[in-house]
Amino acid sequence: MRERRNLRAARWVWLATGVLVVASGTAAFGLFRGETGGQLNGLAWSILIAAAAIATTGLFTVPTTSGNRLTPAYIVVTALPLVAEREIVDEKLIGAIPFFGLESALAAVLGGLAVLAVLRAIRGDDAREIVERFVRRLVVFVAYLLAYEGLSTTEFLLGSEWRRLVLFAIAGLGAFAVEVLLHVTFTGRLLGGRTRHGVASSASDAAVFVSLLATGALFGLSFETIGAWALAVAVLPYAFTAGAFRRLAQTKRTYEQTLVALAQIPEAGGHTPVGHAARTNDLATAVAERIGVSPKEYERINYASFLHDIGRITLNEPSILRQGFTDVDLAGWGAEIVGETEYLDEVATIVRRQHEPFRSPGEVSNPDLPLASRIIKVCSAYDESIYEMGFSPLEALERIHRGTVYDFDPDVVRELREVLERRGMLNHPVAVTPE
Amino acid sequence: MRDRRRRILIGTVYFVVGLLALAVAFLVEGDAPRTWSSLVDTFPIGNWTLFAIAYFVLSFQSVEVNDRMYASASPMVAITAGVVFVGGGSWSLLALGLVAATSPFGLEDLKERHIFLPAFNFGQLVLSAVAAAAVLEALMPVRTRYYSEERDTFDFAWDVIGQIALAAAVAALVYTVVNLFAIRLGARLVYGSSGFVPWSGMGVLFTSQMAMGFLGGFLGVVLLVSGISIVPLVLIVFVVGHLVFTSYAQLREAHESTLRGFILALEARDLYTRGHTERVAYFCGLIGEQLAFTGTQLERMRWAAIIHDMGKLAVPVEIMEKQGRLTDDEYRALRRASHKVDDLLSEVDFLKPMVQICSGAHPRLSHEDFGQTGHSHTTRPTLEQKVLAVADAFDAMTSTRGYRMAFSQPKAFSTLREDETPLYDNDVIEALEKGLRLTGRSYGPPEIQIEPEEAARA
Repeated sequence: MRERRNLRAARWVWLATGVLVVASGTAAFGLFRGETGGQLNGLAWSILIAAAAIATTGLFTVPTTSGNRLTPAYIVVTALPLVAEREIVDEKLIGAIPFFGLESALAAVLGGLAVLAVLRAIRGDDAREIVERFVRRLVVFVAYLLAYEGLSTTEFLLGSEWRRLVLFAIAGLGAFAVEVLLHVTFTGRLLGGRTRHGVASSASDAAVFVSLLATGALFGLSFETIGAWALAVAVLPYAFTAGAFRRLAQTKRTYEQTLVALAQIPEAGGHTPVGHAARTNDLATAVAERIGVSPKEYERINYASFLHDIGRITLNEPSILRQGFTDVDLAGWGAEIVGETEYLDEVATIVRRQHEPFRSPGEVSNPDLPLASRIIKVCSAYDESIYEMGFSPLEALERIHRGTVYDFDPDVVRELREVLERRGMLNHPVAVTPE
Repeated sequence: MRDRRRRILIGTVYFVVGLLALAVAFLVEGDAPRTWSSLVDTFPIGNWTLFAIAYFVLSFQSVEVNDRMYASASPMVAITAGVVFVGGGSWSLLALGLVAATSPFGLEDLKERHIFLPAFNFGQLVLSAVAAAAVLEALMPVRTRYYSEERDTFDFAWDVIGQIALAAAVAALVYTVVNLFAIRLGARLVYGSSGFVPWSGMGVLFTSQMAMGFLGGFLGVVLLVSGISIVPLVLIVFVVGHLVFTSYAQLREAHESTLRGFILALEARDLYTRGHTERVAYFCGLIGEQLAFTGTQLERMRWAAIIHDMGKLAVPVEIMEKQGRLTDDEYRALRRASHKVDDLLSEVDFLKPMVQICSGAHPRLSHEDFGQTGHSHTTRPTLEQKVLAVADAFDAMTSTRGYRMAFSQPKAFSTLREDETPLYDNDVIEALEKGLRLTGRSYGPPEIQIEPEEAARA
């Protein structure tokens, strides 16, 4: 029911968007043909158009790997100061009203974001999210505009065309830093070990941000020479890049879904407890996030924890059963299957070494044992003691604790304990019976 | 040996055509005197160097945008260069031809002493570029409309920019068409007609190339007016897009090879079924091509073939150690486990249609030992299900199994025809027969008893 209402609301949003685009297009056409009279009239029009552009482009998001939503509205904001500048020169307003460009740009940003918030409310978005986005966009956009205007003193810019690019780069870098900081704050990862992970993962969106910024700059610069045709110059490369991001996000989702499906095959045959792969993955990624691994490493742990028991599908072979096998064999076979994919080379290594003890007698530690393998060993053992052996969560954790002498990495166990405590999972005194 | 001679011949012809195009470009256009000294004096060497480098780099950087469709930004660079050369004045045809001329000579080829491919590409690229420049020269507004001699500046009006962009789009189309035909012609002459992949998505290709052409036109105008400081911005956007497309292609490949990894695990230790999945995928492709499937359909068939046996990966624990024949109950458990895998795979949005093809392609489930297991097979099979069923059965028949010898190819076909199952559609079987005949390959052991063709078909 709610879905249907959302769908209907979405249709209204599309309609409103269409009307806005047509209206602003007409206005732009009239404006650039010079048919509107008076300087202030022109100024009002340009603010209106910019606000409409921010509102409409803000509805779309570019899929990013970190889940941070970036929108094409960044393009509009990047182009704003340049477009406003042209207005000033054309209307001979330069010097007459100081900071004319900045003020009109800020007005446009504020108006656009307000309209955007209303549109998103009509679409049926979460209220908290709407407010959060509003604040974030406002802060980042204003930061960008202030940085750009502050730097663009005439002496600095008069030098050459190339200086302008430096200007974009510096202002953009500042805005991106603010963006990352806000993302980390709003996703509640500002404090503790998770900050590093949060920053690293949203910094991996730099590519999206750079392409948005460059598109905006492209629009602004070509607007000075070819007017509204600049729309085509900016939109085409952007469409190419945005299409690429969309496909990447789609394929990534498909790939993860496939891995999740494949990881459950041993469960379908009854070789591992139902849900073991998903639960191990859940714990392992939470622990990895707390430890603060790089996004690449996080992805590997994500995949490897899903696939860690995949070696069991080789058990359909009678000769293997006759010979007998060990956990190490199973891990090796799993690594063989995973290793067929070149992209998963490191994941295969992690799977292969998941049963190695953290240290052997007489050693301080197993020096080159990957962190990921250690994490998976701990999380998988914890899940198995609950769902296969029937221990309560607290008992299971106790068993793991006892294993820290040789088998389990004490640091990882400590983080696991943190995760479990925070989720309130240790409070269940009774054993969970499998199925 | 004959192949080699033919390659040399074709390579030479293309190379000479390229040289001729350059000669024509030198002689035909413009009012400047066509002499060596005037060439040295007025050739736009600075712009030419810039564009030649960009074209050279980008022509080796194509990305897979869609299934089997590769796109590169080099045509856009060519069109941009064309607009700048034509707008700038002299030697536009020659300059653009020479931009294209540098790109075929990559370091790899020189190191490996490959001659055919660079010569071939030299010819077709130069031809395309000169043709595009000629179109621009003919269609772009006269230079006096946007260039003022006394101030030495460019000033473009609205409509002039529009005309230039339109001319650029047409030029891009011409470039693409000439390019495509030259390549296809060459490929047919050298490799013969077989072995050439049917080219789907032509419409998308032309549209995208025209869009690129439009963009090239605008960029050319911007470059003429405000110099090259805008180039890094365009490059950034394209480079980012390119990188993302590259990792997209990488992930797509990873997706497929992960599924293949599981199939290998399934087939590795079983002598009888080794390569079964690969062959079924191949047969599906053959049949699909005969039945004129679209690119998307072929792709879907391939995926369906890859996953059609995945259900066998789940062997219930209780059956694992069983020796000898399975009881009915155990068979049912086996079936249930394999259906569970199908259900798991259909959780993947992308694979859902493929799982549907697979689950309808097992002919015997409904009326033999297995009983109903929750999947109904009462609905009429779709064409895709029939294709998969025929390919699967054909491979099963023509390979040796633990319990029987392999059938010869004609015997397999006649057995398929005799079968009453609606899945074994006669048209599909015929398509497979025809496809196999065209490739000249044959599967299964050679026929030992010679029986008349008529008897086999009866």
